[in-house]
Amino acid sequence: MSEFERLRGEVREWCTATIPTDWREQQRGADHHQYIEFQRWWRDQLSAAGYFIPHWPRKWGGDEMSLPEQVVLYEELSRGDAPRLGITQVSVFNAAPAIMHAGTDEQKQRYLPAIAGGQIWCQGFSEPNAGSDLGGLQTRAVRDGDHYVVNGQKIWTSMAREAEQCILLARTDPEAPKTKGISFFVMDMRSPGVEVRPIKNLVGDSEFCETFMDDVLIPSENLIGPENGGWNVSQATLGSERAVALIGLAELLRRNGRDFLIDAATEWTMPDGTPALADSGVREAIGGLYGEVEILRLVLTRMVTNLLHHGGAGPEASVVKIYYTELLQRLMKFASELHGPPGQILRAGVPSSGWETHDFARDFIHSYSWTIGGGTNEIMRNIVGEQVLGLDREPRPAGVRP
Amino acid sequence: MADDVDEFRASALAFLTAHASRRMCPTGDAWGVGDDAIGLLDGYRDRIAEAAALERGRAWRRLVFDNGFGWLGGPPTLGGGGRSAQLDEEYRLLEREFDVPDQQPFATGTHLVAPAVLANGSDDVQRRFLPGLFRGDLVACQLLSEPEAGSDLAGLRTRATRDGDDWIVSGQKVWTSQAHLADIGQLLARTGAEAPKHRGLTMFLVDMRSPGVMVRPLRQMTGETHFNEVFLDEVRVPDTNRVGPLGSGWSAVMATLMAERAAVGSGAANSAVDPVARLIGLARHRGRAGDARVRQRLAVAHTNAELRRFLGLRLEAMATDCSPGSEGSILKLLFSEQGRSCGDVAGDLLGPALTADSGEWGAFAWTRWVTGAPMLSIAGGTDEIQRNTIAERVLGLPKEPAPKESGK
Amino acid sequence: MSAAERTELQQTARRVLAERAPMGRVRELLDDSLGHDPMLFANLVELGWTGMHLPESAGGSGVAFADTAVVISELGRAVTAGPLVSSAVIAAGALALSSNTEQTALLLPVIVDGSTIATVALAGQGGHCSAAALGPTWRSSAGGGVVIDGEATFVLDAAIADVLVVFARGEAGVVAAVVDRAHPGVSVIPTTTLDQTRRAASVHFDAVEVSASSMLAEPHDGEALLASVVDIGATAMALDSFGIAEIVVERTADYVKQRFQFGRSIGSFQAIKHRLADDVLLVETSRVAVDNAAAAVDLAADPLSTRDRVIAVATAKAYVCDAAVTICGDSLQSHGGIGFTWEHDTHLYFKRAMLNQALFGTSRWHRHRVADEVLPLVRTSSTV
Repeated sequence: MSEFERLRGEVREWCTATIPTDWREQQRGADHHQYIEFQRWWRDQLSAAGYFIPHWPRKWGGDEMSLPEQVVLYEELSRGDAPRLGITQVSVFNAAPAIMHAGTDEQKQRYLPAIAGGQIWCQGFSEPNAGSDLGGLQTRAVRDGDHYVVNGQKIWTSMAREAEQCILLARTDPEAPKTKGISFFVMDMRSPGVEVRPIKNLVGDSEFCETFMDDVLIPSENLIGPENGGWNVSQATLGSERAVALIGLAELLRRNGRDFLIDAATEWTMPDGTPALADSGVREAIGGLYGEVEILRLVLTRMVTNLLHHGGAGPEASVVKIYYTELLQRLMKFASELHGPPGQILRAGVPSSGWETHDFARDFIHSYSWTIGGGTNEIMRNIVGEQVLGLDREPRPAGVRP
Repeated sequence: MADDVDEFRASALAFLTAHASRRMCPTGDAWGVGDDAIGLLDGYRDRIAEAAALERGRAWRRLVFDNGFGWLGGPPTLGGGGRSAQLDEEYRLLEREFDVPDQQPFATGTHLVAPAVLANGSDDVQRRFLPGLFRGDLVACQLLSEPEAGSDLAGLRTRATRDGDDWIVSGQKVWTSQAHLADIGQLLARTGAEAPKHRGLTMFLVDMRSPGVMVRPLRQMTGETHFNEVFLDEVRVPDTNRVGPLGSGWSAVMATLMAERAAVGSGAANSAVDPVARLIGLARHRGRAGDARVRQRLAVAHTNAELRRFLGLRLEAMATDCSPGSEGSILKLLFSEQGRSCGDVAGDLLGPALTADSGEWGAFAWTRWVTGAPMLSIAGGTDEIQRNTIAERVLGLPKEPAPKESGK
Repeated sequence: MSAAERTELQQTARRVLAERAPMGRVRELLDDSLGHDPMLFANLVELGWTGMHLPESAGGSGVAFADTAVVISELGRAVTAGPLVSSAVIAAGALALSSNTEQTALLLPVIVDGSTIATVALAGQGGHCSAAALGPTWRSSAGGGVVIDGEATFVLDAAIADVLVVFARGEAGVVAAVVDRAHPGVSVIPTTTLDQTRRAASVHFDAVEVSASSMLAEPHDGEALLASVVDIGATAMALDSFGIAEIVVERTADYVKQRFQFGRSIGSFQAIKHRLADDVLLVETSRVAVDNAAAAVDLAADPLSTRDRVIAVATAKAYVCDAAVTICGDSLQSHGGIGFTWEHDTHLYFKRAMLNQALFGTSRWHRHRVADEVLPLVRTSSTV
């Protein structure tokens, strides 16, 4: 038996032993507090099994798990219908890579063990006027002796209420060209002057927040990387981690999206009483979606293979992001329309369930957070056009500074 | 004015009945009977046959004009009927029910060139050209697009330089339909170096038999050679053939471009055969009528065709609620979409029968539609340009900003 | 009404709803147990908008359905809650078309004057509204009437209705009857929908006896009445969706013009611009579609052939409801993050458009109805 098969078996067994079979029903309608508690419990289970930060260097608490092994791990977790771990998304996938890449040894020592221990972080990047044009951000950090004074507003900060730390992008040089005057900080969320306001989203959840900073003091030893070098630090999130996370998402789409739809649709009938799945138009659509989900999986596998051999994810990641998010949207839209009126019944969400909650109409609307978030698909298509095909960028309008 | 229309129809029918016979089987109505042609672009594969057809067409056109039905909306001083332009459309639709020689070659002159000449041309130019265009004595072509100036027509480079009473024209034009048949060409050329670039353009009417005019056919994927390249090598054009003042070419051609959009989107460019009726027949005769998937797609095709038809009628009846040009854009986009989707359904129903001629009625004939359909989203203003027009005129969205390196 | 009068009606409706039912009020009512503002309903009754197109003998104005259509679209545009459509358009339509003129004479006037709220109950399991899939069932009763059992789903405004127009299926065919909501055998269980601007419910019938005089349709004409009523409901949904489609395109265009990123308004980027241009196409084609449908269900005009009516209505229902959902999705995408918030109005339009798409027949079903008319099949034992 290969190492991979052994690992697969181990994870599968662990899932059976650890994941409660009724967790979705238990978590249906969970309020924010219940959600956080459940998430913490789940993180603790993963950590105890060594599945929380398996790819980290041993010196920081990881197992140095290889990329193919990570693929196996995430596949099996998704197949086991594992809850989606959201509270440590920023700490593990955004903060830690930046600190590992650009932080001093002292900073790594200060922050990485806490993250490994499950500390919750949030991300302070986007602003009301700096969404797609993140380089235009206006939050200001002014050096004053041994600290910086920060004023401004961030938006779409998830987990801001629970977070102890925040990775923050702020402008330290207003005279420099946009992205060259930005610095990357770690901000203590309990600092005086930090105010958090939750934002209710259109399916009624409050995953995101607005964060206001009013004369917040950040010690200068919390600056990660050089002053005004923050933009590059923020780009350092390793492509490999994103790719591996996407593999898990593809598995979930297959299991809880597509396969769940086929199962559910077996019960549905057309108005004339015949089974919905007997309608050749329905069959054609489902057949198409079936194939596309398989293609997604294959594309991701190839992307991971390329990562292994060439080290970088490159613009392929943008292609995959577009493909995955739009496939998710199309699948949920189709399912919702096929479900008809019963699909329009309002049901409470299952906060730890990710993008497929078994409620197609809700999942269809919610899917827009993915075609918009993480870089809108319009921006993604620009990247593909420019970096893959070498097409010219839009010329800068007359009078606009770089 | 309703009486006028009924009265008019009666007199037009009387004329038509006296000089032509009704089409026996409007193509496509009776499955398996008659010509199964279904295409979007008319065309001949044989230029000799084409020239002979043109002569027959001219003879008919002359008869129509001399009997007062050639240009109902035109001023009587120029040979027109002095009535409403709507009646020209009425006549055209009536004529389609009769077996008459192909009138398509004259449409460029009457529907595209004439509006520009009427809007911009001097009395002299109007007198010398308009009656001929409507009577069929003059067949026109358009010398507008160039290899480097398609969507961005204002960037064209063909130059016209003044020489005494004439202009010397040199350059290259492309996508000129029927250049090989035309007597005159509607030319847009650069006469000045002003900025913005569209200010330096002037419109002329060129005698296509002039020395220096060379026509080279372009073969399209439907197989025909409807279009041409036209090379102009120091062609002498008299200043009396100038349409409008120097530098007024852009506004002159606007009339043509708007008319072209409206024409492609409306009835004028419609296939005489109803594609949806054909698709329904195809489904039935290929035993796919009971397939739920096919039925859904046919319902969609039916819906889109019906809504396009009703929208065309509605926009025609209104005195532009949308600003000028945008209703033509809407209809043209719908038509190009229909071209694509009907072709898709045909492909779905025919499968391999679309790729090789098995002799089955109404099957391989669809290849002309399928290979012609992409033209609809490109010619007469690409779909992308139409979308720009709609968004900017109907919704007031801003145009693309001028780039930092300011353009010509 | 003349075109000018219709424009004036539209402007009045828009102004009244903006004053009396603005978005703030819409939001207040989302979680409201009653689900609508009775004061607003009373205002609309006063304005004469309940049953404009119903016969004058019943208190209506006998105008064309196209005129009421204006009001229905404005209600959709303002995402207004309330029973006007269920009662004065759909249920009233059933009564007006019924051959039981006594019931019609009794009920239409009180629907028009707003003192009685009526709604139709017909959908079966899965929300289907074809004859074969009706929820309630009937059997003959001793006195010449019927006994109704079973459940009708997705009944709009059932909780506030006084009177239910029930369609039931039985061995001999389809019947329709008027039932008091207060009847002891009737129980109403609210169904909360994603769209919280409207109220629906399941209605259970437990051996509800209906006298012969309360029958609106007997087995010989029940199926035809059902089809007509479903078509009125479908047209109303399409009109509501049309109102949504128009305003969403307007508001999205406004937003992208004034939202700046990368030194320019995002509406100047072709990706955004072209998507909106395609949405304009959808609105303009939807406009003619709903005009046709409204003409097809007009009670005052000479009735069209069933074929022509079905084609006009089913075309509009499928096309326009799908178009509105597409437009709302495009709007959400163009608004970016801000559109994803509860506070922003996009989701209110989106959810209402989705419910319209589902009620009174799905788009797929309606397209099959069109196909059945343009490509009739000789039905054999099974349909694929």
